Amino acid sequence: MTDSSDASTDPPTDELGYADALDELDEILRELEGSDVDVDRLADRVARAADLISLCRDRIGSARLRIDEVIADLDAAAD
Amino acid sequence: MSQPAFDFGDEPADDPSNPTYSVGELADAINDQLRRGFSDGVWVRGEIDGLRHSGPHTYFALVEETETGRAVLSVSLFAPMKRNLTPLLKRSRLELTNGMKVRIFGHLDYYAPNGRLGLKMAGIDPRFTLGELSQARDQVVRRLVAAGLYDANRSRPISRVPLRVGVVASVGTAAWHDFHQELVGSDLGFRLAVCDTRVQGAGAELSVAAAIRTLGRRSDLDCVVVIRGGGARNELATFDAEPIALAIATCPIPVLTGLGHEIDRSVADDVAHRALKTPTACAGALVEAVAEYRGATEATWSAVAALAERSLTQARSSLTDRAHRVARRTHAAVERADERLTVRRDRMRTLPGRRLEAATARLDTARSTLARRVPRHLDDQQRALDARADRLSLLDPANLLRRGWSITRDADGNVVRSVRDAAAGAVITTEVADGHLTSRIEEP
Repeated sequence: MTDSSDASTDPPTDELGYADALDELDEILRELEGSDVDVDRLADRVARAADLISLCRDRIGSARLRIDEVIADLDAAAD
Repeated sequence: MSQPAFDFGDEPADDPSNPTYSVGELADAINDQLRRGFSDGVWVRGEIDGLRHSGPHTYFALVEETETGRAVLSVSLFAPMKRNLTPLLKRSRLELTNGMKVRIFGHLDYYAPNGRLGLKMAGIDPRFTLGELSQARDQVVRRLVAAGLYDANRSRPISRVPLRVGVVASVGTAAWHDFHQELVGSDLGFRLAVCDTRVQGAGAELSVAAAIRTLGRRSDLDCVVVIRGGGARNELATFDAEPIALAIATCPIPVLTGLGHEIDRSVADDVAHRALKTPTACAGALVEAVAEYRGATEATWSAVAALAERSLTQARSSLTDRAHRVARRTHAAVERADERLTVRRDRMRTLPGRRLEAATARLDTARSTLARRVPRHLDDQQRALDARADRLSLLDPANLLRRGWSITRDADGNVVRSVRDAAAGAVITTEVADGHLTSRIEEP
């Protein structure tokens, strides 16, 4: 585990893009699925992963809303 | 000619055969004897010298240089006889002057008041004088021809614009005035270099020759003009003199003469580049030459102007033709361009519509694709995220604890992973799903 993954140094999730958040989530999953995860770190990493998942879900939700609006506008303009 | 015999023997003074004359009586006797000896008068030839006029009378000496010395005879031409001779002299264009060689007729006269023997002139032979002049003139001409100088000045080229004129003249005379007025009246811008010189009388030959040579040395003259106002034929003899003829013949600048003689021609006239009869005619010749050149120049300019005008007209015509051709071609080109523009305009009318239709179709397709694919993509993302969430859920210690797993820690809070990590009597804390259990190890 590197210092960059330390809970105290993790950047706020608001600053992350979707792709970066997904990459970090995958990395945490690979780490947690390993056999040598320190129990003390486990909860922090899971919490971080949960935050990332939450972020990504928000982003997907937001994107879906925007896309729905845009497509609705396109349809309205086409009509 | 008989001579009276005078016998001055021992006869008594009152001897009638041997009378004694008083001075007056002797003068009368001498004159009687002279009249008897030269009863019809006498012809005598010689050269005039010491000519003087006293009232209506004229006096001179007739001289001859002989081997034994100079012979002199006093001559008186009294007014009545002078009036008689004047028409003859005029007809012959002669005038009595010093140095003139003459053959005259007269009567010898002993003039008692001064005791001098003289000749009362009563006639003259003009042919003698003219012959003498002609002979002298012929000699000068022969010498000039022999020296190859007779045509020398005539062979020199004269400027077509003789505006810079050297003048040998006696300034103030009628001749000078006529010449000057003629040039000034022409308004042709003549520039004169004048040598004011005696042109007749004693010393005229040398002074005229010197003046010609002086002007001939100048490089800023087109010609030299020698003028004189006319006069007696024998006065013209000055211009038959060799010094003047030589000066003209050897002058490097063309020499023109205007010596005031309608009939006679001097040697100076013969050897000059051109001989005019009068000073006025001489000036007229210069004016005519310059005017002719000016006329020729103006004609040339007129021809140049006409040629230029013709060239301009041709050029203008050619330019107009070209302009018309250009205009025609331009017109055709404009029409063709207009046609091409019309074609394009027509294409523009239909093309954008077609393009827009195609673009609209593509856009519709894209929109459909977007509407179809994006939610699908989001769904994929959602599913992938859900899978990750599931995986995370499996790994979450809270879930593990809920499934019956626990975590044991020593008094320091360190996770107890092995029996070796806890000694007998040590207090440990076990975390389970719903709380913590504190235990003391009996036996490891």
